Amino acid sequence: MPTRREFALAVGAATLGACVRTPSPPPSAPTPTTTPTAPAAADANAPAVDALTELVRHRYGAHLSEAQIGMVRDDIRGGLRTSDRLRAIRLPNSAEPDVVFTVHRGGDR
Amino acid sequence: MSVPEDVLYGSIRELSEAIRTRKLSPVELAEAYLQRLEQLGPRFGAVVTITRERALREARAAEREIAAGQWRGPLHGVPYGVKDLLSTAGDLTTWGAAPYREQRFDFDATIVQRLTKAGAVLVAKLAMIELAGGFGYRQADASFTGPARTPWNLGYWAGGSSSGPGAAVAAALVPFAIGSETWGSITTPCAFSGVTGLRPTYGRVSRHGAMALSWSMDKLGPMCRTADDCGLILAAIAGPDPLDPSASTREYTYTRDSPARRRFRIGVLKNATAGVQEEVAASFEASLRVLAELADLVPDVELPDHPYGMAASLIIDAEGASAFEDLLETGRAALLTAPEDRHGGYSGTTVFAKDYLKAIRLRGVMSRDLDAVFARYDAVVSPTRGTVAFPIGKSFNEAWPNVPMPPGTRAQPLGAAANIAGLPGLAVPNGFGREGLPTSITFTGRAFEENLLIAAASAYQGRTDWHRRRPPIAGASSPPPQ
Repeated sequence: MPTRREFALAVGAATLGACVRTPSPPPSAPTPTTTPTAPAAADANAPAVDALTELVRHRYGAHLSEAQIGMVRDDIRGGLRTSDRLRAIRLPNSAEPDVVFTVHRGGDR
Repeated sequence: MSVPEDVLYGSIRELSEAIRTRKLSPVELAEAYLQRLEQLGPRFGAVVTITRERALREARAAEREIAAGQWRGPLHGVPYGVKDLLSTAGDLTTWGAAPYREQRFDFDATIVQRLTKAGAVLVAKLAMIELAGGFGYRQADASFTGPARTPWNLGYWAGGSSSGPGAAVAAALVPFAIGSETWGSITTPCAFSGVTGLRPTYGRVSRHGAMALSWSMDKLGPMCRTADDCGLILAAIAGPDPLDPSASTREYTYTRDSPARRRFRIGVLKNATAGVQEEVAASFEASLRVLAELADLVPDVELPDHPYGMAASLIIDAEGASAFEDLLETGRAALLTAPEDRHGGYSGTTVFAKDYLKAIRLRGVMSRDLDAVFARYDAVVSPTRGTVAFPIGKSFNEAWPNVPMPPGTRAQPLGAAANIAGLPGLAVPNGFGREGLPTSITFTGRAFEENLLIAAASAYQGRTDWHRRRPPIAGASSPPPQ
């Protein structure tokens, strides 16, 4: 949707809104726990923002102006905040990615 | 003979009955919509390609078959359009994006094949936001065809990313269209253009032949006039497909009376109207009063506390960067229309694999927790969008400055959660707000329970006439066929 990146930038440590509540998960479900994001998380990410921006510049710099790279940098900063929030949620080892690899055997389909 | 405009605004159910009983000629009907597409399509920025030759060929075939007593079903002889991210043999398939404006495929997407098999008549490929919005557009002018305009007020956007389908259905350029949704791209244009649309459960409809933005979140679904029509279309397009591993083998059938009728149990999302435009809130409250006549309403439904929006964002960014790797690697993203789209895909190339995996591990948890909530209701209702359509020429942030909505929450109250979990949603018009623009309510349900949503929304539409309202279109006419 249109403002996905702005969403990522905006939420930071904010909640998702008043319509959500803390669940009482069934016994089989892992219990998500959220560690509060440190207020200075954005600053703490500065080296990573710099490094990833340089990666983009290295790979795609020929296609981007300095102004555009600056905007990519903003996007990266927002993306890292999102990643920080997701990493702060603990999952048990058994929580698999929600994808299933299907072995291919020619002629079966 | 000309086809009266009243007929062109008819539902599929109505058109179909007239076609079946041979009161309406599929050829004359196709010709009427083709001329309307040619006459009015440019005004709304709704059309990329009019498939006149194919349409008349299919319409003539339908006419012959029906005359011979070989009626295929409710879509036989009914015209339709598709969002221009579905491949159709030999036609341009532009994905709304300048770098692909000359792209052609030599096959029909599975969904088009199924509609053809059902006897439907393809009349147009319809405008869309470039790359279905995958690179983070922030304005209506994000397609090489220009911004699509809602027929209710030409200064305002038709919604995206299925912009053309929204505008075209609203203006009766087609009786139905196929749109796609990754996160809000069917429901938003339904809301902004005042039409009815269904986002099916993820996997309900094959995406083979559709542009991929996010393989694990893309869905295809109908945009039309009534919830009942959504069922008719879904019955034709649903089902397994060996060419799309995500396509479910769950059977789908639809009759107007399914499922067996009883009083509905409908949840109302907690704080659903907090922060939305006053008129949107008023429409929603009025809808609740109507729904109370046919359902037990359960207030204050809360969703489990998960970062739905953040996980969805990360998944789409990573999958989109992979899906359009070629565009990024070659620098052809610079050819995109919206300035923000020209650089917006690059940050997705820096998402760590581990973080992507974390997001899709979390999605499993979210899906299970959401299912436990949605299993208690036939549907959960919320306003489709927190505002009416955005003005063209302003960034989305500036669209309604006095409605400070954090995207993903009040902007689309259930959008992030429902889309990341692949849940079905059905958006229907429920009133009007500022500038004469439509408002909308969405019925969201448990996975694979589309028929409950259709039944509830149909009951609502049986008690209201918002879906029957027509936009003020000056100079519209239905010329006689040539």
